[in-house]
Amino acid sequence: MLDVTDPRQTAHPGATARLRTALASLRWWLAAAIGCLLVGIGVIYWLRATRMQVSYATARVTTGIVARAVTATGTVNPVLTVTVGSYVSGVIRDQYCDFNTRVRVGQLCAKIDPRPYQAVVNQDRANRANARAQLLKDQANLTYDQIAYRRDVGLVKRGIVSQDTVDAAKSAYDQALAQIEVDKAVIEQDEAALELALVNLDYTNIVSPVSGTVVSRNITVGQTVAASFQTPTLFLIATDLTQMEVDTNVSESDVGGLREGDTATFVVEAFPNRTFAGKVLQFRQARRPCKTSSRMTS
Amino acid sequence: MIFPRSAGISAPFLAAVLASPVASAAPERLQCLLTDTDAQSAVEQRPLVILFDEDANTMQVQESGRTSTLADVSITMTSMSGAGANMTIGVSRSSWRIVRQTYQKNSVRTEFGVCSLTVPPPPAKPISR
Repeated sequence: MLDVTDPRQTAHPGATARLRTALASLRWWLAAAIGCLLVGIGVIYWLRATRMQVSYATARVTTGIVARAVTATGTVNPVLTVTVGSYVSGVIRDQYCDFNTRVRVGQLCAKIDPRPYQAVVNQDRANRANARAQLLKDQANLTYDQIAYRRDVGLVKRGIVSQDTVDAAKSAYDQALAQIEVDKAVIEQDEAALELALVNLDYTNIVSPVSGTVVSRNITVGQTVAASFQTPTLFLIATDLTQMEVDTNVSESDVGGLREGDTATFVVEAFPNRTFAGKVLQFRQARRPCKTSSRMTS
Repeated sequence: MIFPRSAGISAPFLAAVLASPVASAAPERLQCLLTDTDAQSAVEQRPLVILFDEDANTMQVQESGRTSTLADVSITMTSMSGAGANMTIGVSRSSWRIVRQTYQKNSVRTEFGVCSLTVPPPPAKPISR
């Protein structure tokens, strides 16, 4: 039996194995270097491709007015808003106006239950009639006392009645005259009370004092309105909704640069892409809450 | 009109839906009786008819055979109002009370009244096969 082997292997078996290992390691290093080179080239090309092109804008040097803008926030309100309240208390019986209702001067917007006030009117009318009847009655008494007095004056001259009887008749006549004046005063008093009752009855009609549009309604039918120390607000009526104003609050550092009549622009959230124009009308010494924004340029 | 059975909908149901107020949206009619408070007499009472269309936002007043269309009409859930040349009309929808104000040069004449909503015509009679 023969053992056949490669003489080269048999001569240096350890050197051959090391050579193979070195060659494999060299191949790995070579592949990694090539890969890194390719990645670097790619990064350089990518950076060159995505680099922003720098552009320059040029303009002629001029002189002019520098615009100064002041930005503030505020509320858009009608120029004139009228508050409609109630002078008398009661239950709202009818409501004839609502939001967006166009009203004119004197138009009835609500009606408070008039029955209590109508009862007072009826009572005062009865009092006045009673006073007038009392006047008629006292006028009849006056006529009788006058006749009795004149008769006693004639009788005392003939000695038929005493002087005391004449004096008593004179006193009764004078009292009847005074009673007439009292009755007339009572009638005037009752007429004044009746007039006041009619005024209160008329105040149960809640009417619009101006022509405009109802922008707020704070009552409903059946609600009790109590007009005591503070008059309740029933309606808010804007006279002209085409004329609006922006009430805004300007900081103290900016208000010094503003003047009445300066041009102003403002935007509202409802129309963000629309700019409204106006001008500064007035500077007020009062604080206001801020809600929307406006921009004033001076 | 005969409805096909294959649709799966009964004829009376369709007839009722088509005759409903939502489908027709016809103007409603108010019959009112106005009383002139300035006259201090209940004898002076005038009938008045108001036709209003809530969807179209229109109001018409019929009085003494004449019909006039009101402007500035506002019809809400609680009230109705409209204006004519020299008068305004307001109606409280909770009680159907009406007020008509006639504006003169130095005074305003106010008439109150009560209206009643007339019953709409009955729905069309369903046709059965």
